[in-house]
Amino acid sequence: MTDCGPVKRTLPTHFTQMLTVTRYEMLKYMRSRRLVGCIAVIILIVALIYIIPLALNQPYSGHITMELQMNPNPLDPANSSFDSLNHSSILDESIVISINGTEIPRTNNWTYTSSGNIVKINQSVMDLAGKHVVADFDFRESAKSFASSFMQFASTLIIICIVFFGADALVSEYQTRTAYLLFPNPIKKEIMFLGKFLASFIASLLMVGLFYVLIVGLSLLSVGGVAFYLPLSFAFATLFLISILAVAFFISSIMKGSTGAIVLTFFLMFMILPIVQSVGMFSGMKMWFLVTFTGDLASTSLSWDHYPVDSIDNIPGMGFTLYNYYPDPGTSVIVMFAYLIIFGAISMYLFKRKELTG
Amino acid sequence: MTTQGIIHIENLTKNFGTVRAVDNLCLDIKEGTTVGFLGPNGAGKTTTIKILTNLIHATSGKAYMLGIDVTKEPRDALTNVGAVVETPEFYPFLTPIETLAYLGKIRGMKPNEIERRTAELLKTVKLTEWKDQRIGKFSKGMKQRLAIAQAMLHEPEILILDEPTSGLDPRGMVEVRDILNVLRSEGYTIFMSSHLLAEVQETCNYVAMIDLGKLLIYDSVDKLAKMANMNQIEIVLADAPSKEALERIARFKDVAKIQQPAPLRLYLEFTGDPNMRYLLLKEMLAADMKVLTFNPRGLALENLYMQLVGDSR
Repeated sequence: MTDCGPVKRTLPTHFTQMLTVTRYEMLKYMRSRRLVGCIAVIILIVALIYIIPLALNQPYSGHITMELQMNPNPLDPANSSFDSLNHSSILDESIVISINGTEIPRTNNWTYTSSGNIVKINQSVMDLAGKHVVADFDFRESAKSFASSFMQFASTLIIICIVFFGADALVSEYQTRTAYLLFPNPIKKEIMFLGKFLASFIASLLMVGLFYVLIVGLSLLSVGGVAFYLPLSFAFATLFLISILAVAFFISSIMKGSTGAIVLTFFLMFMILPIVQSVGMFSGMKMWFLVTFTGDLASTSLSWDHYPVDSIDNIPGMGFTLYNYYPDPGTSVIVMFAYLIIFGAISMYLFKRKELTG
Repeated sequence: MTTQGIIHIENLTKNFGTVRAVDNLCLDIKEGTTVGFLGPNGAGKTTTIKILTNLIHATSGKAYMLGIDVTKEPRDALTNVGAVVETPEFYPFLTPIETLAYLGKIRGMKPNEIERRTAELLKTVKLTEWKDQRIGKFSKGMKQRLAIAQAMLHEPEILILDEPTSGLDPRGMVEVRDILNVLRSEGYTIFMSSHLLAEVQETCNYVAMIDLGKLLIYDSVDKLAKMANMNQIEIVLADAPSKEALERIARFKDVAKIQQPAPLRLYLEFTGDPNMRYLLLKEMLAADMKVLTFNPRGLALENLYMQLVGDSR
């Protein structure tokens, strides 16, 4: 027992208290199975995306020797023949053309056009009749193309992280009765909220960061480079993460049970909003205001220098038109900030007002 | 403000829809007192404690702790308060040391102070051997002891305890009562609710009784004991008394009635003072009655509680 009686206390600053909450929330996450589960999901997704092309005999780089069936050039049948190299991501400088085993120099003898991968041989220089024409070349998928195949799943993965670390961050305090321990302390609920939000954000961001680090590593390993706009993609992914985290906290502040909050967040992000979004694809309405739509920025921003534009596809014979919409970066950033501010403020208010009546 | 007690409740009211759980409650608790907060289920005890600890909001009224209204400035009001409300749960992934460090940092304790107090308190609540184990493995009793430890961690001026011995085995209850008695002797102000009247009578020096959200009575245990209807004496004998002996006792001054519910047990309605009670015992021994025990029947608080709660319902 203590030798002295009660002690007068001076409280730490709000900021220090917020960081304390964040630190111990992080410690909880680090020790929970959710962290292990989330890491496993990320590794599984990355591994599947990476392995499936290899399993289908579509390596990311390599060397190919291909016999060409030269066809007369319809525009100049007397003088040239052509064939296409049936492969993508060919490295132009590596192409070697041999006729009956003899390598022929490129200058004035043959040309290669990357559009369509066409090899055209000048017949006025050599007669190809009855001869074997062979092309040797290296191929390597571009870093952008490599990253794009992963980035299609970026928003899905971010939502999974939010479900793991944000969906029940608030409601679990009530359901597990830990609120009885935490709330009678001299700390404002707003500070507690911010500490929890920051912890969920950091935990989710670490997971998304792991996703990007794996992509960078695999990209360097497989295609010898990294997509130029990958950092920009990461920035948009981070903004998307924090905006849907606010939505998840809102759900967590209105629900009474952890399971309900997790299920609702999951279905909202994976089913309800995507269904609304797909309605726009058929009806011609761009759902720029949906937070899940803005999540596509993580993928589309990889083509920042040739940003995709909205297009309309008339499906022949099917009788309907398909609208392909891409998030406008400026508008999407505003939308994401709006979600963060609006849902963040509402959920903070609800958390502050919620009573522990159970 | 200077005349107010360390806990001062003014017209505190809490409505849940149409149900009024706390009804214009007024209470003033002086520094250094241990106040038992008694009442039947649904009386408003826990609701009052939840308002004091910022778990729910008051509909109206004020509740000052150390002169600060907890309904307006809960952070400042709770600075020097330690609380155990219901049986709190802990984060299962943290150990007792980590949990106490977490709460200590929030409450503004320095690291070396947290370390010192953690060691002291875990020893006090007999959890030293479990200090590095995750709390998810703990029994309810262990959690309750840890809850009391966290409430005392920052050596607060006020301790608010909601049924602090709830869920504990008899040994655990004794241990908690011993802790409370030590805290009382150290000058802590303790406000505790309980269903256990004997516990309150043993631990507290003041009692507040509440029912239907209203305060029924608030006074010192000594005064309330005197108010209680304590005119029955229970006597246990080694041998059955003779008819003559019973007639002799019945004729004794201040003995109004004798009941014999069992051959070796007597209930005497007795209106005399303690001196007359002593003479009564001498008279029984003189009548060759082999007296084993000679005690007032029931607890003072129990009698008073039954009387007051019965009247209010």
